[in-house]
Amino acid sequence: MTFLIAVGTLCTICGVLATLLVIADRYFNDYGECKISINDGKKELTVQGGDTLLGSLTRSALFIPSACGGRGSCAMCKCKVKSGGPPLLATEEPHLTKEEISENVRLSCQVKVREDMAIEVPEELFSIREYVGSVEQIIDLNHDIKLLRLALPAGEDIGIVPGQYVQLQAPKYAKNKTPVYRAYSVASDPQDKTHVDLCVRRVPNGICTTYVFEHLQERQPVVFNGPYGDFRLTHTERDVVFIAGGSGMAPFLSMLAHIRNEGTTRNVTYFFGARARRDLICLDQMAEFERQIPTFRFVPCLSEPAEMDEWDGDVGLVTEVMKKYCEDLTEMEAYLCGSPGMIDASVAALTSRGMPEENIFFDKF
Amino acid sequence: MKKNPAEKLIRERLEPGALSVDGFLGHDDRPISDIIAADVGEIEAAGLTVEEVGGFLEEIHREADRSWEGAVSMFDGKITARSIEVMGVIPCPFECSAHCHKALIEVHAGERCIQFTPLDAHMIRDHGFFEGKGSEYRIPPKDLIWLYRLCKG
Repeated sequence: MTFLIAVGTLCTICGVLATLLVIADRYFNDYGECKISINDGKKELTVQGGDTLLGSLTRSALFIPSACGGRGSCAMCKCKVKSGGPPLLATEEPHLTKEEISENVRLSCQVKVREDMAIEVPEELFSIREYVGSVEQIIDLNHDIKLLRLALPAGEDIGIVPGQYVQLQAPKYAKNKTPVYRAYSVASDPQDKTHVDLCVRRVPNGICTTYVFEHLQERQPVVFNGPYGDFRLTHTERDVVFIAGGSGMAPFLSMLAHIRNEGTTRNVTYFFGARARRDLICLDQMAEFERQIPTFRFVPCLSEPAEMDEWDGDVGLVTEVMKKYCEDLTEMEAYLCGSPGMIDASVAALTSRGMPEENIFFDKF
Repeated sequence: MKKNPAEKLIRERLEPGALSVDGFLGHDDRPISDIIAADVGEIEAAGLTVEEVGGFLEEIHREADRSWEGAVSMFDGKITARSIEVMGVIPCPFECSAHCHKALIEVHAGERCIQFTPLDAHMIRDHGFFEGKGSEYRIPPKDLIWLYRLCKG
């Protein structure tokens, strides 16, 4: 009996303490409404204080890029805090250069809004929106790349410029504890206002690609935001070289659709590098573009065709094949999509054929 | 052994679901510091440093990355390497501000094949971390020592 009384007393004390903590938290951590002034008053928000700057901005429909779900690991959510905001946190320091720190650049996922603030963000973020679309189709393009065809909500137009990308959300699932976002270039025809197509290549152990390859089903909802990026075709009349392989084809699918739609007469040659025939994608679509765009030529090249491939096309690294086809690139421009090493190798190959570096545009992985 | 706050935070970032689906620890439940000490000890006992062997992996990746997924012959034909690259970067779990490109590098040396990621090369070089035992992309130190000696003499 004494034991029961003791336990009961202890529980009561714990309950009272917990209640006091909740009341104290609500009282002391109630920062009330806080004003956030963005870009010298271009936009003014009133938010409930206490949340992170990233969370507050997201809830106010201003989307700062973030891949890690606000965990302070991706460092994509940087913005300049001109006034207000707590001192620099230890969690932010590793991700900021000395110059950024001196200019009061912060990780918006780590900064708590506790008072009025003034911040600076890139202007293009004002046009970023988040969408809840649905998966209309999932198509296997080859053994490790899928095409996701996402239907936009009725009446929505994301306004993609060919070359831009969106951030696709992988929600909580299986071992993934927090929603994360990953960037994918848009592959769809910009005239198609009702869909967004993405090429997703499987990343070993990747959170988002494992979700896409093993869990996502047609007709399921998906969250994505955008569009981002300034990789796009110029308005010159210069002839064009595209170089990309694998899922790097995505922005060029969109650009080729645009070229077809506009009826431009620029000569376009696309050098697509792959290892073997099984790694090629969208051959039918490229053949269709060749029919629709008289000045377009698609040149797939395999670095290691298998015997069973019965390949009679070009063989070798894509940069070497490009040099074989292109003697003088002085008056041309190039668009590249790939990893830093791929880009560097391609720039070296293009400039060796006379292309000025300022005529080379790339979307680095 | 009580975990210090820094180790606890790093461990959380190495676990499944934090930065990758399966994480970087495999079935290894030793403290991170013990995992590192054991692996670094094995490298140093062979007369090498983690800077050397990690830097060696980075050298392989740099060369393979330039070849648009084609196989590259390196070190007088002793190995071929290929880098499968995808879009995006992954931050270092050790909170050092490094962001490594997402790629999988396959190294073939005769019958043997070793796979690693740019993040692995960085974690080995800068943090002495080879991933935990049972983790898919752990390179056991003895395998890396063998590969290093094969290529560098």
